Amino acid sequence: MSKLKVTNLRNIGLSCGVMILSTAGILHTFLGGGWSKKTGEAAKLYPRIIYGILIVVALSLLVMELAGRVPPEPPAIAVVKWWQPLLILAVGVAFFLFVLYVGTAAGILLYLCGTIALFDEDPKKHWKMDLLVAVIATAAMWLIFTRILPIVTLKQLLI
Amino acid sequence: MKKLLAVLLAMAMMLALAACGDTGSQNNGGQNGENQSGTGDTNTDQNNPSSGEVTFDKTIKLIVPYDAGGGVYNAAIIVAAEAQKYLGTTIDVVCMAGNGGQEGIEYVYNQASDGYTLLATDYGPLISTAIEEDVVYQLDEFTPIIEMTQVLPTFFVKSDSPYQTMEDLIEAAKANPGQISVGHGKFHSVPHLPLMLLEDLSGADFNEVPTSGGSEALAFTLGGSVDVGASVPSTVAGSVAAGDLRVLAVAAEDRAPEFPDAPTLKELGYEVSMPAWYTIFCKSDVPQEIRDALEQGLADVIASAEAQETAAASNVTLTGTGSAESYTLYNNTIRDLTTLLG
Amino acid sequence: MALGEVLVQALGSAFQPMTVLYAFIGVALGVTVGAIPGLTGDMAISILLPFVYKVDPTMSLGLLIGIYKGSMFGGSISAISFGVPGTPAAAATVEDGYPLAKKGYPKRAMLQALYSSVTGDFFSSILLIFLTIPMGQLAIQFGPTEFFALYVFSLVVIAILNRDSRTKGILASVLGLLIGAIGTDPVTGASRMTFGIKLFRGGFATVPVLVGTFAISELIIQYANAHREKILYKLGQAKERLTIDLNKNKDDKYGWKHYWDTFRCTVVGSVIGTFIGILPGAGSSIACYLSYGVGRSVAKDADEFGKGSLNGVAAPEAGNSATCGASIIPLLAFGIPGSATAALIGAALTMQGINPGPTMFSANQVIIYAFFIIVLYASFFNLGVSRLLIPLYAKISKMKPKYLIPIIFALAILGCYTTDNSISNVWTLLLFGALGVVLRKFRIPLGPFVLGYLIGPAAERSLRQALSMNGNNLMVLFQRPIAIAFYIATVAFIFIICYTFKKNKETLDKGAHSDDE
Repeated sequence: MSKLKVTNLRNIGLSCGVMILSTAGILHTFLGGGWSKKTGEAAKLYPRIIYGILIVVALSLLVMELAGRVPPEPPAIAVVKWWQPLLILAVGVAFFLFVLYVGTAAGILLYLCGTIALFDEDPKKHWKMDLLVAVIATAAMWLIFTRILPIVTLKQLLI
Repeated sequence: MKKLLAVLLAMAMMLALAACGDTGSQNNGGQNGENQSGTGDTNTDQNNPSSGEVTFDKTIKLIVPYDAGGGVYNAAIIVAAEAQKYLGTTIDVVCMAGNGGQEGIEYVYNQASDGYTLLATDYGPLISTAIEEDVVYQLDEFTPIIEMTQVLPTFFVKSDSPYQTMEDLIEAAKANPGQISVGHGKFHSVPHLPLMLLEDLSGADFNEVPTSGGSEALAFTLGGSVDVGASVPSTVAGSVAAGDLRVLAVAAEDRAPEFPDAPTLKELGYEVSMPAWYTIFCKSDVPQEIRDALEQGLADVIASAEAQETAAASNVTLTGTGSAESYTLYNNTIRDLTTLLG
Repeated sequence: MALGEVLVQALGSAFQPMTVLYAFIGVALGVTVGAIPGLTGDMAISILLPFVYKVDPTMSLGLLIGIYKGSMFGGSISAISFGVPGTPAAAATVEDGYPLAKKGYPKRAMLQALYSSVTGDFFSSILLIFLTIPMGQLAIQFGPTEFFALYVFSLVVIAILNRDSRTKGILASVLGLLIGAIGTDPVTGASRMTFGIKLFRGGFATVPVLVGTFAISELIIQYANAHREKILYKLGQAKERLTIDLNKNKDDKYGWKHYWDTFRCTVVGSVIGTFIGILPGAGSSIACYLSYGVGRSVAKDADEFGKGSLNGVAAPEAGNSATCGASIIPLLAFGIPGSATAALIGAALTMQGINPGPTMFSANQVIIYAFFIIVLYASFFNLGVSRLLIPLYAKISKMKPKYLIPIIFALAILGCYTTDNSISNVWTLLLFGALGVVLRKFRIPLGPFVLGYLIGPAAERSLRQALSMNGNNLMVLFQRPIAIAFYIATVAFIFIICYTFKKNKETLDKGAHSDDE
């Protein structure tokens, strides 16, 4: 066995994780709740086959890893820390809810200002440009989503 | 510190997500970008009971729980096209096909009962799903206002098929149980249910093959993958006219206008009549005056020359059956489906 | 009516100024809508359907066809510029288009995509016009057994092409199948694997899944990189960058030479796309991936695929655009649409009293021939409009990430919501965004995963239909000639790929990998 790098461990972890989940999945098709009245045996057969194949594939992956293959991880994805996806998703949810319950224009503008500042290396220095871009983008998006798209259904479309 | 904040923020949002996931259809105007500050502004002046005159001053939303281009959608836009003249306001047809159409139904269910949000559907998403799965509404919480049109389940074979008539087919099916395949659109759909009922009543045992819809049923029948097809007239009219298909029977009270030579199953002695109605519903707790006004206005729209003309051009027959009759039909359908599916 | 007379009238109708204008607007609208992630051409057409009643039939057809063709290409614009497929059909274009753009050649990639698209589109349009009936007959031959064989072939092809690890490719496909199985059983419609979560009921919509898996995950990665840049900047270790364009002076041009070099792949894509397009239900996503896969096996620079090969852009682009004309073939031949968009066009025809199907050719000759003519010239409009828009989009793609990423994110969210008026779409989008990051972290390739997701339900349905029609006898899968042909092709493909990989492995083993995904 050659030395285990991070990617090796990750792949091993992946294989084990998939195997565990698949076994749980198969058990679920036999035992668990969450099925509706209509679900018959036939509907459950296919997931079982899939889980089965997953276990086989994960196992072979595990075997190959232990035998010593080491593909390197590309630099771009290596940078992602665990909390970053959560942050972005939270921002997405907040943005959408804001637009839905408060208003499109306000929501987009607030969101853009916030996220651009989040991305910017030096918000204090660039705030004028950032604000300008945010306003223009808000205007464009507001136009597209509230005027151009719905308006096409109006009978009075002039051509 | 930043990480902690991020995680807290995420968790708060996830909670919000969970909360909104249940009442997800509450949409106070974000959809059209109008900046509304809550539901408070829904017509305080829409109807003035003291004067007995109901007017509509906002656009009515007609929700269709299917994707655009389907039968219900087509009927809905024919009706919506003439609304301005007879109802005093425009009708916006909005497609909400998410979650098997449930998103659309739930949206109507969650809106205010002011007559400005209506549902146009057939019995599939509304009744069948309610019987077979858990839904948020009770069937009596929706009331039909007016029927737009009806489609008739149609059984057909390739022209060179050995089965010349429906009787031939049933005889053959009884003699060879489970051997004759019928491609019937989606499971428990408009063409499938009459097939099931027919099997019960006649003792014939077909090999039912669910497909992804009428088009696939047609394709498989033409290609010989299945022996018989079951769908609706609009899907097969072209092929029948070209001589590629033969219609064996329709499951309705009267013969289909598109296929005057095809008998109804009733004529052949089987009490199988399950036409699919495309009807406009509103919530049951919409005040009676508003419901009457809607029915009157929509009836005028449907009876109008323009609507009839547009409908005829696209091979749709507008029926305009009023709410009283539609209500009986609605309950009959619920009863029939509960027996078949429940 | 004599053919000559019909043609004259049709030409007159098709070249009416208003019709031409509508076609032009349609293409422009289609390209723009397609380029916005989350919005698709289908959505634009759905919104415009009521409009069909209000104008002359040929004019509305011009508009809808323009949108169809425009959106097929439009999706590629954002796929190449931002790594975000604007439409499901552009998913395979991301694989090579985006790396090309990052290397500094966005315009070249987009022009390649454009010319291959137009070629594929033209190819299937010609077939549509002259060979509808015979090609329609071919489409009808496909029953459940044949479809199942096709799906198996597609999945295997995509899965084993993965350069790093064929096992991971297979893992990805199967995971995709699993996720595709969540929601409803494709045969009975029963809910399954929902675990009581409301969002899972009914399955997920295609667009949010695609945009989420590819785009949102990419956005998150971009954010992570931007964040690191920020930290480095604060530490004084990185200079402020004016644009992300490190290759300002590189020669980002496109010429005849490029077109001819990639012609083989373009042809492969055109043929495959046409073939897949006429099969009802097979879809443009299958076409683009299959074209990509097969294109890779015939291309000379197969090793460059995934790193920025023009061939890798040519094949899927020709493939997805070829489905446009092809999907209308069964619509006109039998009234059976070959794709969801064709179904919408069929609805538009029905609304005007034209029943798509065999009777159409006798009953509505003038309109049909006008339709054909519009189909042809719309391709050229696509060429023209897109050529104008490409430099614009190329410039936009070079905008600083701190502006670009928030904007795209907002567009994706709003776009997915607008597509179906569905709030669940947005949650689906974000959920799959997270999943996409996880997949990338574990180096599970996204292409096979997405394809598995897309064709899983259809494959299962075909399998169960085939079995139930023949007494659950597994052997029936291998009894039809077309199906057998596909299985043989699958096995042959596996051998070819294994052989080429083995040969290349020996050369690669001598050096280090240089992945830069």
